[in-house]
Amino acid sequence: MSDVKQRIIEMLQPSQLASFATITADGKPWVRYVFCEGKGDVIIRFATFGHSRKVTQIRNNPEVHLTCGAAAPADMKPYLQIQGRAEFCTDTAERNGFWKESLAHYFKGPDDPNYGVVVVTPYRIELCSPGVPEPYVWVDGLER
Amino acid sequence: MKMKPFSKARHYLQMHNVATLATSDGRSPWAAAVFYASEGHILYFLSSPSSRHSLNLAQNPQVAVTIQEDYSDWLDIKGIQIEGVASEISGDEEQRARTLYGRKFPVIGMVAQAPAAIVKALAKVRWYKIVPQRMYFIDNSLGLGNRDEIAIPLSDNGR
Repeated sequence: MSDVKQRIIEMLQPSQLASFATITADGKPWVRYVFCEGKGDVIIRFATFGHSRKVTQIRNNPEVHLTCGAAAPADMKPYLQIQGRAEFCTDTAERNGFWKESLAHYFKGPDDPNYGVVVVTPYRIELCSPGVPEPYVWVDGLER
Repeated sequence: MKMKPFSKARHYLQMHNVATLATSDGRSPWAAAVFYASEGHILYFLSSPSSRHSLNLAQNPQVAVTIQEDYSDWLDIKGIQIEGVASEISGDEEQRARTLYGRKFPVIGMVAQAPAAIVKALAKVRWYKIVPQRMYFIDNSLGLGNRDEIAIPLSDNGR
């Protein structure tokens, strides 16, 4: 595994607030915050309600963009710009695999019919560092 | 004294510095963090014309924006969501944006004393404004997903 991919995986590991952008039915961009996390790979997951607008939007157009770690660029920490495709999953494996006690504030349990997991499969990730002119880029397994 | 959503939104805009700007090339979204200054509900920012979001804006001026801190608990989240239109500005509008930006970020305001790298970078940027069409104030401390739509004064629309 390359150093870039390893760094990306480490940055995605902790649960964190990220900006999740989608396209609306009328072709406009939309963005909101989500708490997302990786799990040993570049795949990113977060929980949401099945009736949410983001679920409707990714069903209509799965192209999405995530910005992780850029809420405070003045802190000069590296951040990630992630292009990917999203899917809303309600199968038992995903629901049980992602379930954690903190979600009990919002859902009755992993079997709650409103609960589902958005799975983002990135195809291009920029690892940006303030002060460094060009980002490191991970593209479907190719790094440059 | 408790502030009303309108006042909370203006205060939040003034007290924060970074917006996540979502643009689209027509098919795919792109979200980028930008430093902004505000006047009323209008946001001003600067960017390189060759950045991905600037290229998208040249094709499609529709944008969405979030402004928030790096909260660690969903129940603590507060912030702004905006749907609006972004455009490049020049002349008096650009001068006004420079003044507001310089007040908020003194390193930009005192360009004569700024490091050479910043002066060089500033010479290449373009100035933009975002005019909100809809604005929401999110406050999860009042209940999960609590979202108030903020009425935007006519004087802030299409200025």
